[in-house]
Amino acid sequence: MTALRAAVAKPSRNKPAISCNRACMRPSWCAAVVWAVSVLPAGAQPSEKASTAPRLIAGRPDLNGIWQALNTAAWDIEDHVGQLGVPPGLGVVEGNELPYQPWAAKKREENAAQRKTSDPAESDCFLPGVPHATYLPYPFEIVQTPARMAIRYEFAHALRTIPLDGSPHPDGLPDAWMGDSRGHWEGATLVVDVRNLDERTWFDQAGNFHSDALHVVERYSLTDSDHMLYEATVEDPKVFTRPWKMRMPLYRLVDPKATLLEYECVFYLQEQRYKNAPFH
Amino acid sequence: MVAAALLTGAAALACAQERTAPRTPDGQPDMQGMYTRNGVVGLEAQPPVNPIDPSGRNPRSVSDRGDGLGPYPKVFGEGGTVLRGGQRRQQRRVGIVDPEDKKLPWRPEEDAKRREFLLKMNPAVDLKHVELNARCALPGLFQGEDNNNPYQFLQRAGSVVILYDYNHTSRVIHLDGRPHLGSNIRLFMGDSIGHWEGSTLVVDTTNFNDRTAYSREIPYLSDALHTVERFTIADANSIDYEVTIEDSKLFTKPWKVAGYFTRVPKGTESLEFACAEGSQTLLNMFGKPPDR
Amino acid sequence: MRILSIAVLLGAAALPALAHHSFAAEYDSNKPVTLKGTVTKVEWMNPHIWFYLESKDDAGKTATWQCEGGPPNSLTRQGWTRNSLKPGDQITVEGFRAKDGTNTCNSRSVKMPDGKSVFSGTADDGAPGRRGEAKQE
Repeated sequence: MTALRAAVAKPSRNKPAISCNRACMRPSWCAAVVWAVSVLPAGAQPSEKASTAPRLIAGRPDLNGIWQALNTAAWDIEDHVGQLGVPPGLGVVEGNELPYQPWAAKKREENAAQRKTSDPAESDCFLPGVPHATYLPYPFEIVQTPARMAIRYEFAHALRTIPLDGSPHPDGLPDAWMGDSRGHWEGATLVVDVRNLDERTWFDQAGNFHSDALHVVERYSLTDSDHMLYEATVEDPKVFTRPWKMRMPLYRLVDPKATLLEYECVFYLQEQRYKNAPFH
Repeated sequence: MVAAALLTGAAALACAQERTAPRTPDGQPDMQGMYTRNGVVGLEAQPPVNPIDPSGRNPRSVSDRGDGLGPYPKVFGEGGTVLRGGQRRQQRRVGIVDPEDKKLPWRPEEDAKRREFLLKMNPAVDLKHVELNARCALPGLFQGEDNNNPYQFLQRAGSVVILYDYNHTSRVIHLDGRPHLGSNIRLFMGDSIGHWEGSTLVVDTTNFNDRTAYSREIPYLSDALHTVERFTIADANSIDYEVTIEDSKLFTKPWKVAGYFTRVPKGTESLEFACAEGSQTLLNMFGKPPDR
Repeated sequence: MRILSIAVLLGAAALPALAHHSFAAEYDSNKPVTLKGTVTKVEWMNPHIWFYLESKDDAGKTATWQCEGGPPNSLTRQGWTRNSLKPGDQITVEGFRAKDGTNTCNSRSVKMPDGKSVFSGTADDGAPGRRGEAKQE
């Protein structure tokens, strides 16, 4: 009796738990009880070892949170030595080799030579595409609910929505810089199929590129509560001789204050480029 | 305890007979889904002439040639009709609702400055006088410029997340009782802290930078901007919306704007709205900058 | 006063919600253009579609023009695709020229030689029609 009265009395400030507006057909006492019942934990015990028990959403691992890669793939996804402004790093590509077709290998060299002006993400702050967005040196946030997921990226407020409802990639969509993503669970692994990617993105700042035939399959799996293994299988028959794969750990930002801020580089670039506008 | 459980169970059973609003697993009223926006933006009383697209009032403007066409074929604006179908929220106030006479409580010198500013926007005398939407700036307030692109509401423990198709924007509204960010962090989208009052989500947003537009007639608000939004689940297909806009640098009192969100048809896809990638606006306005 | 406000309301309702950028700041409503030519490229992208055409003026001189349309998402939702306008299509474009005097225009109307309109939004003009029924979710 005491528990029920206490529940109905919430919340404070003498307000009913749910105020009944015109559209609400229930009497307010009923709403209050429904609210109380839904939040009263059934047979709750004080939580022990809460941090080691894996959190689940609709029976699947809860990937909600802020994550970031800790490597230098954003500069170059292959092995690379240091230069001014470029930290050295080992590649994230399995087999350590990108299987370019001969014409594409040449094109990659051309891209690399022009990277100061031609890199769409670095020079113009354009959306980075997939999987590039994952390993930028900026955090991203996974938003997970049972039916839909989204990934918000701090870089240029890039955004992907990932339906989990089994719907197919629609026909006839315009190309999207961040592609069209459809997700499903395979056990404890989130698998995201990405198509419809705009051909203009690069995989990194080193000129590694693809065509509009790009197809990426990502796999996200928790290896413990604060780490994920990220794998991306890349397939592009116009550019590569075979599919290839990249893999890397992702790290949860565990600082309780961690939050995505804004890196609005388009705006910053405009301020710089058009500082003395107009030009004609 | 047993009595409580019995009473709870019986009451719950009785309640189940009525229509019960759905809940998320963590107990929030469930408003999840995809919606289009109606209203929100509206004209103030005695507004200045909009210099950017004076078509509504300028008889010589491109949209008043008498042939039913605006500057672009009408079909471009009809995406919203497709999403909204025949849905309307009856008897809803939209636009500026407080003050009722729509005379916004401008500080007179700031209203004068705003009207001066507008005169320099077409043609834009410099970058600062280019409307923020044309620069693909993040929209701190819901914008009429969203071209009827839909919004998705997601809810998880500790937050409500709103995804905008428009300019691939997203905001997280924290429900976990955390304080606002420190005052040196200024954001286009501000910092949003919320709580539920019954079936109304109340959102308090601060930490705006000074690059927020309300409309084409009010092209900027200041970094003193502070908003309180109320998203009320009105029925299974609608969310009523009201925002109190407080900006003590520009206005002597807060004012309120209303609108609503309507669910879109089942199967509606979210489409990417990449803005900067396809924009030639600054190039067209100002010419090629020296470093490109 | 009342009549004026009704007119404003009607005006506002009749306009496409084509926002995001400053039409009036980029195009000159005193410089209408009519272009007849062949589509060479279509860029189906936000915030505005662009298409390119080789057009011949009355003197037979060819010029390359780029013309801007509205946002593609609303077209996509109504069943139009990037193939609605294809390289090789012969079209007549009416619009207004850019203020900077370049061969840039907006596309106020786009018509095929048989008079059918592209991007006009009515079934009679060959629009594919809406996708699906408008139902509640």
